[in-house]
Amino acid sequence: MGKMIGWIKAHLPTQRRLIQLYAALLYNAHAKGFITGNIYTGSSKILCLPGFNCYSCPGAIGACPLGALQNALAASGTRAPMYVLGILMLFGLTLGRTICGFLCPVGLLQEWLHKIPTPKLGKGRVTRVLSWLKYIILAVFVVIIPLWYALQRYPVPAFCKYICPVGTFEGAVGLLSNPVNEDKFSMLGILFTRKFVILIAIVVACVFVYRAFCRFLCPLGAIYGLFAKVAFIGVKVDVPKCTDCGRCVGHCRMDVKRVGDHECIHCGECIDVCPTKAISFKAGRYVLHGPQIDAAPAPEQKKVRRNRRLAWIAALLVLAGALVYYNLPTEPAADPVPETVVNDLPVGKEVGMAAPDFTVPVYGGGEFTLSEHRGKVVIVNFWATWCTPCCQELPHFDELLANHADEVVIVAIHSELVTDDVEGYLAGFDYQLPFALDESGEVITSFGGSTMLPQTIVINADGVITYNAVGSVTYARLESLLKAAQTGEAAAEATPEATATPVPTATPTQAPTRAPATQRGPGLTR
Amino acid sequence: MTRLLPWLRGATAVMTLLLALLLCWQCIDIYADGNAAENLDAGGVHIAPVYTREDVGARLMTLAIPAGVYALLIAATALVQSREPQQAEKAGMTAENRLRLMKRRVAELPAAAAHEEVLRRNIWIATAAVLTLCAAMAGLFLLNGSNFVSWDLEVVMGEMLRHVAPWAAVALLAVYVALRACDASFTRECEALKGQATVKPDPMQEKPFPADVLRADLYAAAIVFIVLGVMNGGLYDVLVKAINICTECIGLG
Ligand code: SF4
Ligand code: SF4
Ligand code: SF4
Repeated sequence: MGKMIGWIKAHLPTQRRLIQLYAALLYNAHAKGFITGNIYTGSSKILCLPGFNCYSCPGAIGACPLGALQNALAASGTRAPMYVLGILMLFGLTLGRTICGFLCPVGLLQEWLHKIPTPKLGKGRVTRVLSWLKYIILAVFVVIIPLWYALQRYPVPAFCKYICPVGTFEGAVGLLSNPVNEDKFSMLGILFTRKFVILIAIVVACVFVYRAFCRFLCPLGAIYGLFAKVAFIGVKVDVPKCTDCGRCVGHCRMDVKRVGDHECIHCGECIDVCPTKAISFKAGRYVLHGPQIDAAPAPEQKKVRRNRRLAWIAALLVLAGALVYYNLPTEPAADPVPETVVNDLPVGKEVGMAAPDFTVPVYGGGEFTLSEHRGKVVIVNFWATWCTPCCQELPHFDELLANHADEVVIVAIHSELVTDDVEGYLAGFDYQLPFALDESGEVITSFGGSTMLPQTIVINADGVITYNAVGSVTYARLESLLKAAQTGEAAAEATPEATATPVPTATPTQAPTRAPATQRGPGLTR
Repeated sequence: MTRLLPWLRGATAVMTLLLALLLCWQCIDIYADGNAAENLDAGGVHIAPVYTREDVGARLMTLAIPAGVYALLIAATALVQSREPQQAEKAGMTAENRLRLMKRRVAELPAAAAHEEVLRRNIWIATAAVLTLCAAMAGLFLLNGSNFVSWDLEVVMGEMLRHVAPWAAVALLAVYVALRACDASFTRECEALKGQATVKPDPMQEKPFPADVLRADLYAAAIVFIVLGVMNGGLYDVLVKAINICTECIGLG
């Protein structure tokens, strides 16, 4: 019995593990998202979380700092990325890479993966060299590529799109594993295949190498590492007590050269190995954990323990509150489309139903009313300036209109969430397409749109929907959809990336200009 | 038990790799099947979707047995491991640490040690030259905006891989070689210091670094940035991106 109790005690989770778990739960308090298969769209997403957590995860209640940074840089053609830089500085100055040790769910996942009992690869020269790779990734994929494309007013969050295993796991796998999102499988192609293989490779690396992603690839860790010398909270060495014996560095599994340097995640595991008790975990000059506390008189230790207990009680109350708040049942949204029947067909968003009529204001003047175009195939594209695939596919719609002007009417309707000067954006291109604005978000909702863009709807000459799907389309696909709408045959299936047609290159016709004003859509959530 | 543990760990490692390979292979195979000529029409458009929930589900089912074996193996290895005495952590002191420690104690540095110091300085100068060259060559591509004009990002990424990755690899290799050479030099210097007269080392002194002042300034800058960001609409941008799913970002397509 005693042996068993000893074993259990030895395997109890540490304070750090509990804090990691707490942070992961709090970041993903929107638990019902995993059941409904959709993401949280409330206003707390205005805040960036300190740790790495994809904002496309169904549970996420805040924004991913790295995704936000890339998108802010990608939008820097119109406005400077002040907010995200300020937030990252605030996190870095206060906590630095303590975030990695305590507040990052991805760090926690990697530590769990490393617990899989296999032979492990320790640190050495190779890992020390590889630890510089994350700075290259930060420079190229997070800064340079988004900035270059920002000059062309084309948002490219390159790290998200080409590398990020967190987005693949929390976002893609998180959404696809819910049967509600069955239709999203048809969007998958080369991008998913490549990112899935990257995800598996990183998972395997983390089994064998302690925190492989953090050490070699994570640009967020690289950013927080820049604040190593000034971070307020973290593991600090009492230099006069240090004998430079190197036991701390020898014990550490990260590629540190010194305790507290840019590779240190402030896990505190070296505190107990220091023979001169020179290491402690501090907030400024106040010791939070360390030998000073262990050596303190009993009443003081009691006080520290009481403070910790109180902190935990407060934290658990916050978590409970968050879980209740984010998971309260919401009223099912009323169907905005009245139960009507047109030509014996019910009006609705599904293929085979009569398309709901709408009128939207067109940029440059005038209005677009769907019912006025009865007798011709109509293609409606929902897009936004901040949506990468949307901007990439606009040239295909333009080309289709140019080639089939007599057979088809196309309208590209911008989402009600306007972050940019849309007219200013369009002035940079010579699109012939009519562009409109869904001012209230009702049009996209009436076609079943939710939190995903782009969305394309094809309506035949009789006003019946023949295609309605989220995801990008190519020119060949659009032609095939047009033909199907004209002939009544089923169109070939969608998977955009794999078609043989190359993506036409749209080159801006003028240098990007700063947007004179920011337009605001009326609603923040759908 | 002790003899069994390395075998169990080895088997778990092999199963980890095997399962990962099977998963990747299934994924690539679905993609290859979906892009076979039979599934493309004359215009190169897919006739049926590449991925379907049923297909993915069916393929995952074929991995159920290996996954079950893997789970059992992990459980068995963890059980055996937990019954073993905890291994003492290796003190893993590097030659550099050992040298620093020794240097603080020797009364006078011998000529051989001074020679090693010069050698290491030269190694780093040479490495810095190589790194500068690599950065310049990669920079030539990265800082040239005309390389990032096409919206066909697949091509852009391919070109970037071709022009930047080799220089990044050379840079990392140069650092590796320099580290190896320096470690050998540290070891030689340690040998040279052996047997030298020693003195009691002075306690180390904290190098003056104005962390508090710098931190306060940066805090002020961060707050100004946030306020400006709220005013210029950056806050709203974050919200809009966060409440919409960027299908490409998470790899959906
Ligand atoms: S894909 Fe990665 S970097 Fe992008 S928002 Fe998601 S977690 Fe953040
Ligand atoms: S390095 Fe990146 S993934 Fe790792 S803990 Fe830090 S932020 Fe998270
Ligand atoms: S130096 Fe210490 S606190 Fe920093 S990562 Fe290593 S063990 Fe953790």
